[in-house]
Amino acid sequence: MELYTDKYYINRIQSGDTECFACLLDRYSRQVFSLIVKIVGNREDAEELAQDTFMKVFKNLSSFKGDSSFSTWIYRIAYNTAISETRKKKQEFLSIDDTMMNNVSEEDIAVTMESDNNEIRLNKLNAALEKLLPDERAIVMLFYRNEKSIEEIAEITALSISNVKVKLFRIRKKLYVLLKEMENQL
Amino acid sequence: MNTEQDNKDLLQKLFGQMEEEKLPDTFRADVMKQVLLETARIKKRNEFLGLLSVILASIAILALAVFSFIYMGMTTSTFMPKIAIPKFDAGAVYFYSFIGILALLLLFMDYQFRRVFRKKHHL
Repeated sequence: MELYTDKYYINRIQSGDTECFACLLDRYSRQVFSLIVKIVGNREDAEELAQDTFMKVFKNLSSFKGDSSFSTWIYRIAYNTAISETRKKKQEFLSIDDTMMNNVSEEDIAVTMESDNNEIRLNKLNAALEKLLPDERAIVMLFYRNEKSIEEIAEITALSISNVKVKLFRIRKKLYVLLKEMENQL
Repeated sequence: MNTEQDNKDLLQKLFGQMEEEKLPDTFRADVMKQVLLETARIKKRNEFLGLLSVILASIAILALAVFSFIYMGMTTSTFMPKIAIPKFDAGAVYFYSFIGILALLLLFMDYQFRRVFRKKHHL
């Protein structure tokens, strides 16, 4: 159980006790860093971007009104910071057409993946994630890894709820196609 | 029948097994250093803005006072007494210089005597 709430630390920081920011840092830095690493795909860039994110959080703490949870607010800043960075760099990503996605049976994936051991499955998943677009990686990470709800993801990414649902469905399909391709290559 | 749920569970399970990225050891210290620098910068800026607002307010008050006097048709002679400036006397300068030098000499002697006294009594 957490001893103090985020609101408590925010109030302390706003009343001049800046050292309390370290507590928020301890609470969120790893999750934020993990998300950014997955979005940008580079640890060095991710470290710099995570620092930028927390500095933005500190500078804009007064603008946090508590309409959403503090973690959603932090993830939103981290998402925007990381996505802006990926837009600066030209990267090539795999495009998968709809017919290909529709041909993949979800049952096949479940069966084939069940036969692998955990390490292989994780390696495959990581390889598949690398082939997704940065914003797709962010959405799928937020949903599965950070266990954010559709509503929260919509708030973080500034997309509509229905858009997030559609994107999530397509990303899942894309992941299945990529995992299936990997299976076929073996 | 339950494939969608199974797959969701499968992905959920896989993502759950993903290890969180390890942060660099200096991350916390680096961010806190930046935070403290930012705090100092904000404090300095607030102090500067406070000083600037006091100066601007003072100038505004003075300007308002001057404007009021002009508006009421007042001149300096209206409210300020005439001050007669005494003529410059060269003889007085020599006298005051002599007194000043004498005072400095006595001060120096006092300092030296005290030093000798402290040395003698190991103070």
